[in-house]
Amino acid sequence: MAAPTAAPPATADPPAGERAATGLLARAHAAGWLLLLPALVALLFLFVLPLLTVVIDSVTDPSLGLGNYASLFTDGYTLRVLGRTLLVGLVVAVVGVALAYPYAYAMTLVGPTMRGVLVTVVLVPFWTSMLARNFAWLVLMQDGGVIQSFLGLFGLGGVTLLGTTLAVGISMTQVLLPFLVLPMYSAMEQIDGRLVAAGQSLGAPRMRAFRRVYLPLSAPGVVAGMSLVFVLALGFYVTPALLGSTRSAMIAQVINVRAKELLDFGGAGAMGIFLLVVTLAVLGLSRRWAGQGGPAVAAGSPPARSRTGGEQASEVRPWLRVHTTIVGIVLVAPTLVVIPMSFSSAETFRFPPDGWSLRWYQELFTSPEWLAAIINSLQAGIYTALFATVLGTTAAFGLARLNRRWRGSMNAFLLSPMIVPHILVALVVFAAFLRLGLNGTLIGIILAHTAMALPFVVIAVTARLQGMDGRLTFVAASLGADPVSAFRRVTLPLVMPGILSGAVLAFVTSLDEVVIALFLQAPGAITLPVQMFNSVTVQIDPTISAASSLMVVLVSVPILLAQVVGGRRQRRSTR
Amino acid sequence: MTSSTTQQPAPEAPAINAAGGRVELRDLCKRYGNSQPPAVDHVDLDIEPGEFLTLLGPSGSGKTTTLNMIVGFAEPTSGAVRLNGRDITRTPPHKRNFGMVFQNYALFPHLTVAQNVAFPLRERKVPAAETARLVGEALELVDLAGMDDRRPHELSGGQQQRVALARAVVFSPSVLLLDEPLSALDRKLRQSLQREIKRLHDELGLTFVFVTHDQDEAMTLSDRIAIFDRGRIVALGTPADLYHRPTSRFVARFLGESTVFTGRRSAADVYEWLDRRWRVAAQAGEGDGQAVVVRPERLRVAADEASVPSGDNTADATVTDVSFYGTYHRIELAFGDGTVGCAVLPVGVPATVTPGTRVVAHWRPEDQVLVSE
Repeated sequence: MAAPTAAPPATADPPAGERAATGLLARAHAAGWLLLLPALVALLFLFVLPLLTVVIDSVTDPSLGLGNYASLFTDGYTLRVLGRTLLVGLVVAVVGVALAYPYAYAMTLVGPTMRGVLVTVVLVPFWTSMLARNFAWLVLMQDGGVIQSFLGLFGLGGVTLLGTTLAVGISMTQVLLPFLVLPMYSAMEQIDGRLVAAGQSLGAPRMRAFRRVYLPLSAPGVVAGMSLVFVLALGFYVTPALLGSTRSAMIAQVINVRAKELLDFGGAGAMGIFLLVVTLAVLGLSRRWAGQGGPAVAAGSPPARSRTGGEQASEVRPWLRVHTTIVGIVLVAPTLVVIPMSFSSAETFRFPPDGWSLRWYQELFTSPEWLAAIINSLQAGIYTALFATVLGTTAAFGLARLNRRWRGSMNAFLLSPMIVPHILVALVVFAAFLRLGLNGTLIGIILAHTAMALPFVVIAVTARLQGMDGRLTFVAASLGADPVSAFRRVTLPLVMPGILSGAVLAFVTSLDEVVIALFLQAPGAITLPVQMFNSVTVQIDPTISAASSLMVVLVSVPILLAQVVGGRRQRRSTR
Repeated sequence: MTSSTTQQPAPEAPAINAAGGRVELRDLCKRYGNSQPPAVDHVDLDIEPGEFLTLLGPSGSGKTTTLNMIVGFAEPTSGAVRLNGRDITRTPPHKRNFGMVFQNYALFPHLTVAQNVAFPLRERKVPAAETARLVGEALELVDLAGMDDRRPHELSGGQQQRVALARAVVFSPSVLLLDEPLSALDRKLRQSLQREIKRLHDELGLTFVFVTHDQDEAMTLSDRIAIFDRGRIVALGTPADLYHRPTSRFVARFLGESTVFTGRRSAADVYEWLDRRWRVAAQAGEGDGQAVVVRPERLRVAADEASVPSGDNTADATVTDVSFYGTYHRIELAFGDGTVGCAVLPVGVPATVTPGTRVVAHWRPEDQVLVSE
């Protein structure tokens, strides 16, 4: 849910502040490291050391050597899974671009109101829990479901979708679509619309002008979005586990089985590390190709500003209208399935429901398992938000005090949990916490989620700090404010929106996280997404639809609140 | 060192009527790192109570660093800053009771106009009623009465800088420091705010220390100007002094326009330049006579030697450009040794010269200034 984002460039300096502060630089550096220390230590113990043990396991367990890695490429089954995973990732990325590019393009053409609608439509999936969306696809694709009936109209009624790689691919594409639309939109938004007209005036027919001018200019966004989606797809666990079958397994499922059922940490580790290497290679290449610091888009961040100059909404061609509408429907469809489903009176996943009732809500709030899961999730979310916000905020303040070189590398380190595939994080944490006896405890889940959520807080707070005029603390001092008072009266109020949105993102990250929670689950430490996952895979329990709706509320309310509060503060504090 | 414990007492009956403080800079040095030349190099300066002193110089000349050391944002490498005889070199900025106005306004974006102005009063625990009165008074002073509840971003650049001025004087500081406060504004606004600042200075009787790189601004506003070059004060004096009696080629070039001839002083009253022998008047200037400076309004042009009044120094020149400035013509001249100079002629004097004309430039010996290199 929470989108991995390109790091905001941590280089802009408040010039006057810098100039005035040079004398106090050494002291500032020391303070900076001190502020960074808690976050660095936390990441070291929660993330780096566990990762290292998995790396070591992968070359020592069961025997010293690269045997585990060799078997990745020699074992027929593993090879097929690997090939399938890469292929699905690639297809999802390519199909996703084909769907998302025109949509993002349409977003730049329409007027402000329509743009607001289109942005909201893209964000709706973010607000709908990952599990809820996959559950919706399960409902739609099941035998006798809406899609099968629809295909039946064309005489294709016998086609079974569920359990196939196609079903997995369709669902993954939908789940990942926002990650494509947002970076592409933010790249296209920078493009001066008149350039295509200029191309045409220079003699290029409309399509050729588009191809020769617009396409290259929007390429960085396409590359950024595609590579992001490709790497995210590689590590997908929930979708293939819910919608696929063992015959169409992807690598994350194999890692899960190896680690949890066979306790083969060497083999699982090798697969995880291989995933990480591919991820780093793809992201590295795309960064290189698309230029430094690709467009940064954070989940729940306000839609990018419309181009300056107040250009009018351009004409949107009919085919683009149709395409945009279809993509929009695909984006919101799961949410539109889940909510009515929760009011169904039937014991099945039939959609549309035959009758209406509140029984699943009643079940959700009375059954001990569901209730415990809700409470666990809220607890995990609140503690994660608390820890990640404290660590991330102090770290962001620390970063701002470092000199440029250290700031860049420390920033990259703090954000590193974002680019590691979730399945590998889950494996790493599982292996480490198993040794420490933290498995099966909520504390383990909270600690792992804290490491995952930390980057979002760092990004949000850093962005605010950089947006702040660095001289304001000097102004405060000149007006008689001692450093504590200056911090309390000037810095803190100005940075607060960043801290708040960081906290919200951390809460939402924890609330919606499934893979790690699935790995660490045990009686007494089952979060809501895990309970939902189990309710589909272990037994058929329609309470999941009520839970999904609850998740929509739990996720979207804090985001909306943060946007309203943030928006109000934003308006107040823009100069 | 002990000054950090001697808290500035809050004014008993606050009113915006501070007496100006005397600021002394003693042998002030600032080095950033060992390799670079010092940013501020042995600066000595006495700023009188109630004076309007401008630190003028090109960027990187050390004027802003000096200001930062006065206000306490930068610590001197050596030397001392004194306020009314008391050493404040190590006093943190929030205890110095100096007002400061920054470039680009630097208002607190999360606070209203009134809250911005009240900020220093709250730090000083001024009672609410008193605060309200002082804020009203300060806003009235800068012509912004009734704008209390606006946010900074709702104001124009000029209005924002007025708020910053009000905020910097509302707590009756002993010194007001202004760091290029007008450079973000357009020409017209700049002129109106210049008048505002001048009026504020006259009304409040505060000591003003003003940093700028704009020579016109410095000339119009200041009682005295300290000209900075490479970390040192190279000239200090009233605007008229510095204009009419520059001491070095740098000062002459930096403050106003001038023609600078480089020749040789061959005797007490003789200066040789190319084939000319110029008379040197008794009051020749304080420089050691490396170069001769003539201000454009003192330089005249004649068609030939015959029409030059006797006793004037002369130099042959070619007119390279004539431009019309409304109240005057400006004539650019090229001299025999490559020296470039200029003269201004009042409009009304029929301008017979055109580019390419060969003329004789002349001036009275007492109108020239001998300066050092």
